[in-house]
Amino acid sequence: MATQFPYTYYSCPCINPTDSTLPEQDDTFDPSSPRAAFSLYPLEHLLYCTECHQVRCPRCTAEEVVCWYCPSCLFEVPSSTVRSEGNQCTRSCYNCPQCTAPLAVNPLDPPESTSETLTGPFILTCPYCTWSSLDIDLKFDKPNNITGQLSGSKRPEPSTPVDTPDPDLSRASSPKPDPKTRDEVFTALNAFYKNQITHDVDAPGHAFAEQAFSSPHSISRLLNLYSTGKKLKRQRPKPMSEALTPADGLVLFDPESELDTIKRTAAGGWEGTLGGDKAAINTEARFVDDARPVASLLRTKRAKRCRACRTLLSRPEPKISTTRYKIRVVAGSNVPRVGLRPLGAKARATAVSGLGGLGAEVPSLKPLLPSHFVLTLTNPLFDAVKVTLATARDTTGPVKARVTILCPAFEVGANTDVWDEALARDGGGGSQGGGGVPEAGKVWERGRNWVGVVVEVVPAGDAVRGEVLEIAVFVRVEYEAGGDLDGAGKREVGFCNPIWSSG
Amino acid sequence: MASTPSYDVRKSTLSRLRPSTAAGQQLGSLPSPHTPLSRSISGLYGSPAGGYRSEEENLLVFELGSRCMQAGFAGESSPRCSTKYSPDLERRVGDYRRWAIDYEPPHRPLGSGETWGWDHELWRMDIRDLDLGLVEDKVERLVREAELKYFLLDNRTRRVALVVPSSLPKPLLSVLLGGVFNGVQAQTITLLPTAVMATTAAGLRSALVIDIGWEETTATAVYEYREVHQRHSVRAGKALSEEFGTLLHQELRNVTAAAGDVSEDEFTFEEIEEVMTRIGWCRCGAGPEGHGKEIKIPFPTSHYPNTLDVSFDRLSDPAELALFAPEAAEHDLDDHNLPLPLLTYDTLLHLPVDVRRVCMSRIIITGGVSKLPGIKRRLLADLEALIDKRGWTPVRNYGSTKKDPRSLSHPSTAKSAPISYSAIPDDDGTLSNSESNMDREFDPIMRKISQLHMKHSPPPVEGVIRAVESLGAWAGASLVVNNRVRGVVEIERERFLQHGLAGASAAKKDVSVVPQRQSMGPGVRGVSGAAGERGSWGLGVWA
Ligand SMILES: [Zn+2]
Ligand SMILES: [Zn+2]
Ligand SMILES: [Zn+2]
Ligand SMILES: [Zn+2]
Repeated sequence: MATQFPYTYYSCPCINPTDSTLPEQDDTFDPSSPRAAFSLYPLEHLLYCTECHQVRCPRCTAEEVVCWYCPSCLFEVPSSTVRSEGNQCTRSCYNCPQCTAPLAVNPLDPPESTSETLTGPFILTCPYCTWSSLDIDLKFDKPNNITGQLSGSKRPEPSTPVDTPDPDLSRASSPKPDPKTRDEVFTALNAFYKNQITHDVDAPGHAFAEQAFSSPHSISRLLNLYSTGKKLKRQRPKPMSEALTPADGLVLFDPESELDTIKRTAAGGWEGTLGGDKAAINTEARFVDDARPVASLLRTKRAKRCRACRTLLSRPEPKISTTRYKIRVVAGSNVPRVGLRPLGAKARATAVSGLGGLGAEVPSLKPLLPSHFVLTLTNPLFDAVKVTLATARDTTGPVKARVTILCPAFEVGANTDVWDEALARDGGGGSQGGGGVPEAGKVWERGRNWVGVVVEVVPAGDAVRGEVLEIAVFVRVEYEAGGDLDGAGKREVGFCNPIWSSG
Repeated sequence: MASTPSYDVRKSTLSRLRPSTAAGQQLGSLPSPHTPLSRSISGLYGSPAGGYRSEEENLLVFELGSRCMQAGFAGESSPRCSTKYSPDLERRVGDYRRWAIDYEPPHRPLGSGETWGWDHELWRMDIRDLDLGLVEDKVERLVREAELKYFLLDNRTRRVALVVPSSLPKPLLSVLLGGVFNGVQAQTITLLPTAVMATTAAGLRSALVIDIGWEETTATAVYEYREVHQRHSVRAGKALSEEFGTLLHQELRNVTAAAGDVSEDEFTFEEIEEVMTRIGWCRCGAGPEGHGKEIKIPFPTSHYPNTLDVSFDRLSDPAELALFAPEAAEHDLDDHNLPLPLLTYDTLLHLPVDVRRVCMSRIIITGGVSKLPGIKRRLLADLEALIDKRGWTPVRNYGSTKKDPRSLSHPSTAKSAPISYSAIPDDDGTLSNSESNMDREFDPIMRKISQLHMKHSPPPVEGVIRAVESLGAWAGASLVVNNRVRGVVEIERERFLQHGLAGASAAKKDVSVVPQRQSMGPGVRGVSGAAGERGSWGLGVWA
């Protein structure tokens, strides 16, 4: 979405839980404070709870996964598989360890003609960089089910929970090679601890024998052996021993391994090592030669509920191929949309928010000279609303300016019929005002369900050039609730702040 | 300890989760007011005596360091995600500027000393000018994004094991808990101390854990899963990365005609850090490792030549200066900035003699900087040299060591006179905290008993310098949780959201004065069989 100045952010009320009355002039929300970044959202990112009559942001919604799918092959993955196999595509979707691009499965020897059936072996190749799975000596017999073939040889990532083998069995089948990789050491240690704990619980006459693993006493063994004092003397468990052999998971430090790493680094130079973010996805790999393809991470579709009252705010269609929602109560259809444009600019500020490309003309402010802007409020509701605006007299942040809203209280018409205005506009009428000199206390322009008022901005003398001026505007909305509720309801939008810029 | 006003921070979190006034009134007017948030969950899983049922629960392990968060599932060998904190975390939602073609990142001054890399830190131990609310916001976002991208949790109960240093100041602990509780909607959080977890991840019960982190290096003696002594030094990742910055700028000046034009922050923090992690190393003696090789480091965004040639040997200089300081004069060293070998030696020196014998043969070098190739080798070699030179006579006294050396050689007196470890006199308010960690009853009798029980096993290695590899604190916690070991400190969501850490402080008054004992509250409740109200929880080593 190409976005331009001015942009508008909305502050979710969950940042300020106690106060829902119109803030006093000195009790202002400061958009330039670092914490503000965590509660400001473009309007499209906000939902609305019709029970609480509040805007809801990601922080104050609870999410439930509706389905898991691979973004690469768009296959749905059942939750049981996600649990057992981990959060990765179980088919053939892998990403390049060098540049993170999706890898393609290609035959090692490309066929002479397209009519030939593809024969193995197959390799993973990156269409963007030169990486291929040949670099790490990886070939596949079949072009599909790469994950299955990889786990047959060696898992690229240690993702599945360790199945703890029966301790007796693991002891019996002990002539195994000593664990070397991180996974193997972890498995050995896990078996070691399991054995220790089981051993103890099974001991004859043990006080806790019947409670098995779930017994919380094991913590007193493991972490807190001596702190129970006398009690321990009565029910003293046999102390756990430490891992004594490599089979237990004991790994002694080997200076040669470090020396190897140094030599490899010196030999391979900069190009031989993995860069920061690539190292992060291949946590165990330091060198390019060790980087393994990274399985594509799954994504989810999620339903969202209000955290306060559990009302369902949004529920997507479970089908992967559609982006539609069964339910979705967006903030945009429940709270007024705020826009800002320089006075004199023709286009009414459209549904634009967020920060994006700065290509659009950026109006600039001149120190000490008043500039005028039109602040528009569009009412999405089917009732007329009374709006009260407030802003701090002096802005905070990099650009200091004095801000005055010339007409802070007005009424905005109901969002009755979309066609009315469209037709009226075609006819050249519809909106009134928009001419003459801005005047205090007077609405500048007005349409069917929107109102524009003039805001005067006087930058301070020492305003920094090239910085963005952001104006926090507090919007209070009151409306007459129709129907059988007890008379006049009052609905309030905590505060929005259209934030606006100048070069 | 009376609850200090700073813990009131929790109140705001609680109320933040409530609907604001309009909704609040509505709920309040209902005939049966209910707690909105987690009622449905607690109704299902509220039984306090229920043990771990991992098939029905999501058991998550988080390790929060000052620069990096590691998170994943218990029972797995590696975390699912390892996220380094960057200032980008503070961007607004919907701010897409950095993906624009003509986007230029804002210039960030590098800072120096304390402020070096400041904006890449999640938190600092010195919380005086830390915006704790902001830290909580960041943690919450980090945790939520980790769930969104890596965990994709179903709606089973979420239990979290949080690995944090035992020296963490309590207000900081409080905001970390708040961030994790809210970010992942955890039902309970179990606190596990970093050093003990690093020990379990090596298969050990006792160890000397040298954790070379970002802000500080911590040397912790763990004996029978308990932290018995801890020392800190600022010689760690932060100092190291600043030295790499200095090195790069010097090298740039060497190849630039107008050296004076090279400013102090020609390279970005990210570029410097990448050089450090990719090709930094640590030398040991006059080894021939370098072969005089030159490394070409590309800097695509630099205003200067796009590559910089640095000799490989030179890339081991920062570690020398920042971590080992072989040239540093004795009087320049104090308790805050001991070179790593000296820190290790000093920590061993201050241990009771038989604890020392056990720990010196179980040295674990861990933490982010421990991945710098060569550092373990060097640290151990220097340590051995120090021991050869000085033996175990505590003649040298750095700073605030007030303890009578005699008590060291007579551990049998330790019970009547608990060893009061000299906590580093932090003036940042962490003193009381670290003191309570150290000032723990040490029971040599119990140790003897344990040794009796161990006599059927092969004799443990003692008295020689030996280093053991650990899979790291995260993996240790993963093992512990996977084996259904319940943490010492388990914090329940609703209790925490209502009372914060102050709830723990209040509860502990009527229990005992020894912190470890209160922490048994949750630990022993199943044993006592009293399945009624869940007992009060204490903060264990964090109290
Ligand atoms: Zn609601
Ligand atoms: Zn919110
Ligand atoms: Zn896929
Ligand atoms: Zn690639």
